[in-house]
Amino acid sequence: MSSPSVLANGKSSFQGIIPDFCQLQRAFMLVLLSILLALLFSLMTFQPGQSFWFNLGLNAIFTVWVSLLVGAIMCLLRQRLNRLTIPQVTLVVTLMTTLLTALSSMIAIQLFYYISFDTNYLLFDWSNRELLWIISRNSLVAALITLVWMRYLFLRQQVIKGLVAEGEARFRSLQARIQPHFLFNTLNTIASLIDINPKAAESTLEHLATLLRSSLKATTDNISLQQEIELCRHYLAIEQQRLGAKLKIDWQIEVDPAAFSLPALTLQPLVENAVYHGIQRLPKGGVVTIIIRHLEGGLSCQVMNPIPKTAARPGNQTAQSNIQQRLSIRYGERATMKVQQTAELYQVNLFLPDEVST
Amino acid sequence: MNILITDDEPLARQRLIRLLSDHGEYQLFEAETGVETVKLCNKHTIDLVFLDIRMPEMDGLEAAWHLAQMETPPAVVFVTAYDDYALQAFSVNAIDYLLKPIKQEQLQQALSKASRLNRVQLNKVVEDVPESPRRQHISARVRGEIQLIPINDILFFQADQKYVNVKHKGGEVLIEEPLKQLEQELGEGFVRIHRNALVNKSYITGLVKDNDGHLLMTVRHTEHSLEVSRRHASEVRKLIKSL
Repeated sequence: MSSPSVLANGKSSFQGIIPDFCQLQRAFMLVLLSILLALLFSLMTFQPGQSFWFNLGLNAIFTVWVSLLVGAIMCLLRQRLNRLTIPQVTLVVTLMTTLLTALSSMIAIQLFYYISFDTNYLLFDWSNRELLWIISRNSLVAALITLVWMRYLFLRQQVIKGLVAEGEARFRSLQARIQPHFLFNTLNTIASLIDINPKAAESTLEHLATLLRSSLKATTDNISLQQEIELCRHYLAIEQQRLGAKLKIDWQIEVDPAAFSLPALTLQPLVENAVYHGIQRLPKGGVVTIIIRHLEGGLSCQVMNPIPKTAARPGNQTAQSNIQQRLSIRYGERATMKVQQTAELYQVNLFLPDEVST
Repeated sequence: MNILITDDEPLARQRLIRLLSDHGEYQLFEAETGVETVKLCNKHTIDLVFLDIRMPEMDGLEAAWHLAQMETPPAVVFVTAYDDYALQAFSVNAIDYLLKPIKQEQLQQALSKASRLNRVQLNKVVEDVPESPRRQHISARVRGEIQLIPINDILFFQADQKYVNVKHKGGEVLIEEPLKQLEQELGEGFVRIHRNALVNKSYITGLVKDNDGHLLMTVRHTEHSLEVSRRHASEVRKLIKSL
């Protein structure tokens, strides 16, 4: 299965949390934000009798200088930085910004005194407490701002990731629906039924239409558990016609499905996998068991199916990893998906925390 | 004409039966699995098989391979809803196929020109199709009847002059395939321990020395132990340690 290049490209650009600072637009935003920061700083430290505009000018020169320097380094090191883990990047960038600020502060002080007062100040005086205080204050402020900024970059990346995953899920589900094998098998089923059982042919066609429509629908919101179960039933009705007595379904729904909601296409791909990798490959077929119940703290969904003994290849697990990704973005670590596999049984356990229930 | 229709889906078989009945009088047989197909073809004189590719246990390609070993194999037309790679391989190797849902005109053509397959063609197809599954069964003739032994059930192969003795969970049979070819085809799951013996790794229990100092391998489900040649001894020891 190959994803279209759009998705592949999208993927590479959202890897890592550091955006591309080589872009003119980003550099401009950086300048703008630095001036705002200088304004904030000047307002906070303003005392009557001083020249506000003079202070603002000096502060702005300083913040723009530091932020452009940081931006330039990020532009150069972006690919390397993005290979690190989130805590590592945060540490490196914060340290870097803090050091640069300290260094710039020293240089600025030197320049400042050199220009305005006395050439005797040219060598930095370590014993001057006031200067030390200015440098440490600037560095600490820079460190704190960088941490807040890194948090923003992290959240920004999560949002982008979420959008891409949603898009991918819809695309995958559409691809699965119009997966040639499924589509042509279903068409063949309908062709067979037209002569022997026109009513069944008609209803199979309706199920197919509903499935195709749900895949095309652009919904990023949660849908009710009831709707998701309906989707599974449409899918299973089609496969039931094709596989006949080989496919048996055991629904064990111990909750009121109208009272819960979940991201669309969470359960259905798991049921589809159970049929595709399990039942269909067994000469005598088997039972797909779907258990939905409310446990402490959340909704538990289990999908179980027998697998052939020779099932050496586990499939490419695109459906599973996609569900996992979307769940983790929406619920963090509180939602879990676990796979248990024995020689003859495959089981996926899904747990969705309670906040999702309406 | 005797025609066999093999498909694991009942509706798919029914449709083909209906289409064929519009064409003329045929003696029709049905099979649900590859194993059934091979057995039926050995029991009855089948002229033409419509063979689904994707089936559990033994798929269409493997069934065709076993059919091609018969003295007078039937003509085979593969049937599939969609198999990108297999279809390309079929076109390249001039093998007949039909796409589901089957169209009348194409069925007509297939009936008139369906041809027998040979092993060379099929081996080429297997080479051309990436990830095509390995053969899962060994076929042998026992008193005129075909036996299909799942490879997972085979304990070992032992060559004895012209024949190879296949010892499996349910007994033993003789086949004519050379050991070397079997070794290449079965690959990872089996290990050569002697010029004349190929053993299924999952049934090996251990090594013993007999009174004359020969190294012998013991195998589950059988009293029989097999000699390990000096040439293979160190390799076999390494393997047993890793098991």
